[in-house]
Parts: sequence; C-alpha cells; structure tokens
Amino acid sequence: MASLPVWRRARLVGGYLLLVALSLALAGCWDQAEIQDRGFVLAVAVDVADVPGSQAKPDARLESYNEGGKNLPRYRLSLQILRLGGSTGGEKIGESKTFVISDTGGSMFEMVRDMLGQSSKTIWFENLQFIVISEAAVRRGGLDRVMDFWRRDAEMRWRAKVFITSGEARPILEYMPPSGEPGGIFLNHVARRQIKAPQLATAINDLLSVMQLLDAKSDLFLPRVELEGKTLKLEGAGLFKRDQFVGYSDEYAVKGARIIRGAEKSALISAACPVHPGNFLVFELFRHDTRLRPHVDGDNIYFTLDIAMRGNLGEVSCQAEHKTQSSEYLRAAQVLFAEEVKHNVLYAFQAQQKMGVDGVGLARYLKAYEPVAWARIKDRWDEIYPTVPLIVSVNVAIVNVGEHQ
Amino acid sequence: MANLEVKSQMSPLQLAIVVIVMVIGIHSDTLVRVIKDAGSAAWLSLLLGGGLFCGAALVMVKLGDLFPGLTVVEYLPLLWGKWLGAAVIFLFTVIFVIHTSFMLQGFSRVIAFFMFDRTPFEVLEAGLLAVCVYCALQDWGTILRVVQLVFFTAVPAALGFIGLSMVSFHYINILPLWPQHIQGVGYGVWHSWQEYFGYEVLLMLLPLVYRGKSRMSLVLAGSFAFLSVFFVFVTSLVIGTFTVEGVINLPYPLVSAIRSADLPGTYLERLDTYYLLFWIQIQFAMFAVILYILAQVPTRYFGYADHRPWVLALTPLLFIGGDALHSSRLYIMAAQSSNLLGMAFSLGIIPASYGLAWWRRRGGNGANG
Repeated sequence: MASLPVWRRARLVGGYLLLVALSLALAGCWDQAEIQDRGFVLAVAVDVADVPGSQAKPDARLESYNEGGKNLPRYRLSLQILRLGGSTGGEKIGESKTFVISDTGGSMFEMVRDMLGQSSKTIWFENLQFIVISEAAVRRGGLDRVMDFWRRDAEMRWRAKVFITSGEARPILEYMPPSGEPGGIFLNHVARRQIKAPQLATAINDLLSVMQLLDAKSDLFLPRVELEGKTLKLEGAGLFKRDQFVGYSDEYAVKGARIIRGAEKSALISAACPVHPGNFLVFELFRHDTRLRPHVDGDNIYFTLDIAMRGNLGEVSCQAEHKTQSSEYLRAAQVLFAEEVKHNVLYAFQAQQKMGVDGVGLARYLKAYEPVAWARIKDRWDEIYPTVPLIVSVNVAIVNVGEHQ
Repeated sequence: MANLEVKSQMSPLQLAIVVIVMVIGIHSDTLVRVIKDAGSAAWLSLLLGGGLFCGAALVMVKLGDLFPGLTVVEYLPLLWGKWLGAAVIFLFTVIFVIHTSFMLQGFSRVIAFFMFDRTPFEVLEAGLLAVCVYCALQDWGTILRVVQLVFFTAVPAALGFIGLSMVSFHYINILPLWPQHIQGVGYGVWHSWQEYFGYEVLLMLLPLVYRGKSRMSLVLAGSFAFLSVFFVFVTSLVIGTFTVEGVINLPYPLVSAIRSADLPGTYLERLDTYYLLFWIQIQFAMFAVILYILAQVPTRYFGYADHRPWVLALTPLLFIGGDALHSSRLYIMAAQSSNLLGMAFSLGIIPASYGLAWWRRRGGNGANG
C-alpha cells in the first residue's frame, strides 16, 4: 500500500468507504418488518354488527369506531391471529395458539385499520387460511359487498377458503381444534380432505374461484361450516344466485353437483342390496370420465351428462350370501351403482333447479360450446334454466373386489 | 486472452435473443387491453399481430440490407432528405421515449403493488434506471452478454413460474375459441403492438449483425414464432384461470394468475414474488438495451464517437417521463399515443421507406443500364 501513488491510495480508500456506505444502505429494504412484529391473521369471520346479545357485551362500544356519520350496513369483522411464543416461554396445555379480535363498521378495510388500535403488531394477511361469513352478513348486503376487500388487497392468498355458516361466524374462529393446530390451519386442512370426500363443497371455494364466479356473474355455492358444542364440521353448501344468498343444499346434493361437474377425485357410491333387505354394497370410485354437454335443437335446449366410472367394490354387508367375484354379481352391482349415481345427480340438479340457482354452471357450458345460442338466450337464462332437461347416462366398471371375495 | 467486452458484432441468433428479451418482459399489464377487445379470441389477435409485426421486422431487415453498415438514423436522411429524415428519426425517438416512460411507470406500479407498497414510485424508477444506466454505459458486447445471461437464466425461470399457474387453468373458460366478433379481433391486433413493442431496436442493431451461415429472416421469424406462441400461452392461461370477464377486472392478470399457485409451508409461499424477482431481471435487460439504443440515435445523428454522454443526458428524460404518468388518464393516453405512432411507424413509414429505396435503386439500375 505504501508503494502506491497517493491518488491510487485515495481511490482505494474511497472505494472501501463507498462499499461500506452501500452495505449500510442495502442492509434493509424500505418496507421491511421483522417476523415477530407481524400479527399473522389465519382466519377471518364476518358477522352483522347487531348479532343478538353482542351489543350487551361490555366491549361492544370499544369495538366500534366513528366513521363520520355514514349510514352504512354494519358488519362485525373478527380476525384470528397467531399467538407467537410469549415472553414467559413454553406452551400451556389447553391454551389456544391463536387469539381473536373484532371490530364493527361498514368498510372491511376501515375495520382492519381500526383493529390496529387493539394490536401491538401489524396485521398481516399473507398467511390467511379461510374467511367464514355468516348467513346474516351475506343477507345484509350480498356476497360481492363482503368479498370486495379480500379480493382487492394484494396481501390476500387466492387459496384462502371461503365458507358460510348459518349462525354466528366469530365462534368458529374461537374454536380450539382437538389436534392442537391453530384453528385457521385446522379448517383449511379439513377443506383439503375433499379429495376423498365429494360431499364436501370445498373443491372450488377458494378466493380465486369465488372471485372468478362473481366476476362472471355466475351462480355459486359456498361450503357450509357449522359449530355445535365441541364439534366443528363441514356440511352441505350455501347456494347463491349471483351474489345473493338463496338457501342451503345438503351433503347428498353437494356430492351430486360435484359428480355433474366431474369435480370429484374419489367417491363412495352406496346402493341397497335388492336380494337382502337391510343390506348394502359400496363402490369406491378411483377414475372417471365425465362429459357435460349442451345441445341446441331449434328453440329447445337440453344437456347430456355421460359418466364412465372405474373403481373397486369397497364393502358388501351381505358378502357371505354372494359370490362377489362372479361376473353375474359384478354386472348386477355395476347396474345398481350406475342407477344410484344417476339418482344422486338428478337429486342435486333438481334441487338446484327448484331454487333457481345454476350452481353447476350450465350457463358456462352453453356459452362455451354453443356461443350463438347463448347470445340469443342469455337475457332469458333465468327463466329457461328451471326447465332445462338433463339426460344422464352412467356406466360403472368394477375392476377389483378388494382383498376378500 | 481475448477481451470479450469490446466485441461489437453479433450473430443473427444473438439478435433474435435480444428481440425476445425486449418483447417478453412487456406483457404484464397490456394483455388486458387485447382481451378486452377480442374476448376469448385474444389468442387469434396475438397470432395475427405476431405475423404482422414479424412482416414489419422483415421489411426492416430488407431496408437495412439496402444500406449495409448504416443504421436507420444514417440512411433515413439519405432517403427522405435532411428535414423529413430528421422528422422521422425524431418520431422513432419519441415512440421509444413515450413507450419506455409508460413501461417504467408500469414497472413501478407492479413492484409497488405486489412487493414494496410503501416505497415511492420515484425510488423504484430511479433504482431501476440507475442499474440500467450502469449497463447501458458499457459497450454493446457487454450489454449483449447481460441480455444473453438474462435469456438463459431469468427467462426460463419466469416461464417456469408462469407454467406453474396451470394448476388454476380451466379449459372451459377459454371457450369458445373461435371469434364471435371479427371486429374485436381486429382491435386486438391493433393493441397487440403494445405486446410486441421492442423489435424496432432492429433498425439500430442491424449493422452490428454479421451474416454467417444462418439466414437472418429465418432466425427473426423464429423469434416472432416463439413470442407469438408465448403470448398465446399466457393469454390462454389467464383466461383459463379467471375467465374473460375476470381478466377484464384485473389490472395485472398474469401476476394474479401466478399468485393462484402457492407452496404451503415455505416462508415465501406465494410464487408471484419469485416470478417478480426474475421479471425484474428481464426488465433490467430490456431497459438497458432501450437506453443504449436511445443514446445511439443522437450519437449517430450528430456524429459523436461515444454514446455514454447521451445515456446520461437521456436518463432524466425517461425518469421524468415515467414519473409524470402517475395519473391513470395520462398513463392510458401514453400507451394509446405510442400505440398509434408505433403502428404508423412500423406499418406506414418503414414500408414506405423500403418502397422508396427499392424504387430509387431500381431507377438507378435502369439509368446505369
């Protein structure tokens, strides 16, 4: 260094100083926030503000804020936030891993910001697992109004699930799962079990799907979650005409609707044994090829549904009375299962037709495959839909009977 | 040891790579316009647009062939005369300045919205321009290597993340494939210029291309075929994910589609953040090339030996231009005006220049003969 000329030494020192200065400048970004300073929201519940009894609670006044005298429909927004390890350390048995805070107001965004008055950490939605909305809340202003903030804000996850509940939504956030998981993660994982359970309406209920259906002004259904005592369960679905709540459908109808759409990965099809009353046989679906197609014949519009299913015989309550490996038995069983699938499908379809809700999305199929006819009748679709026939054809193939005859 | 940095020539294949990197990074928020026009037949608009602009690029090559070793800045005054030639060169510069400003504003909007919502747009624009200026101050050989590096690393990675969003694709959403309104497809072709913008750099880079065994026209047509397929894929992907009605409601449909795929259990669960990291690199290469090209225009026109002072002189103009488009009205107006001028330049002035050059050459041959 000493042998270097002065100007080169000065340049070298200058370079080092510049490097140090750059290192300081690059040590953190403009928007940085440490992980322990974030309040990770795992679940959201939307209720109406005036749930019977809630106004009597001592904290009802504090949960509200002054929004400048606007006369808006009022909601109660609750957030389930992950409890990150406290200063005392350790985890107490029976203690929830989450806590819930609430706020009431007209705008979801303003309620979120008002909740900062209750939270020592920034409210962070990137790990949001689900949104549950009470029936009363969707009846108050429609689904579109409630969902706008959640689909507009870039922090939200498209894969967050959306549910409806007939009662109050906040208690679902307070539910402590028996598995010890945080509640938001628990219900999200339950929703994923739809792969083996077609009666769960959780295949197309994430934020992305709901946004897509609302944008297309399509009818839709949301999975229904209910909490009774210490039991939390997904059962059936809430049906919406555009964004307006119409009513509920049961699990059997949900299963049928998913079969129509070909959205089931696996399914159990059970049929009564015609030979031995009180007995039954069960088919486990492994693969299927489902084709729903519209047909236009002059002014007549009808749909055909062709289903080919392959799977195994899963259970036979009267197996001792049958030779389940015989071709006669299997042929008869296949016909029974095909009839049951057809019954299930028509049950679901007719239930939706009665409610005037195109939850299966026949309009989308008509628009996609018969665009000219769709352009002609789209304004009258609501009148036409309840009378549209669905012709169902089902073929079931049993490829295995299990490990026992 | 050879000094790779002073390499000032490139092969037709390398030029094709430059064109791909220039064009592929632009699509983020301009896709919506084409889909709004053509609906589910946007794929057809983009294919027709690809063919149209490929034709325009090939005319540019033919025009360049008539003036070997010269850029558009040097041969336009020879063709159209001093003042008219200067006016056309000015128009070429204006198109690049307006559309680059539009893209710079678009870049800061995307980054601010998805990554750094509290960071001022000015900081994002200045940060990107600072690194692009550093790159654009180098010789073409260095810039070309940066472009190639981006092409072989960031482009495949970005394509991979785009491909992952196939998990949300529903075939029924892209139907009907065949257009219901031909007029809409036509408007879509018009607006697809915004997707294909960037190939105009050919006019400045052609003298740097040495003609070996590979045929220039064929390689260039290949790059446009690749870009057309890419745009058709991306358009089908976003429509298949959101439906036409859904895409129209989204300012950034591609990033939103990538958001639909996530990696549960990792810290960065959402893939859009990963995608944007690679998209920024493509943007960096694209803006660096634009700065270099823009600086080459006055350098060549006024006969300077060094392009670097012009890079430094033009950068504030782009920064001010980009920053001035905060207002949505001005932002849309910038896109519309550059679209109009760009179409007039590529499909009007360049073919007319080629026709004039060809006619003069034919007339000259006739006179000599």
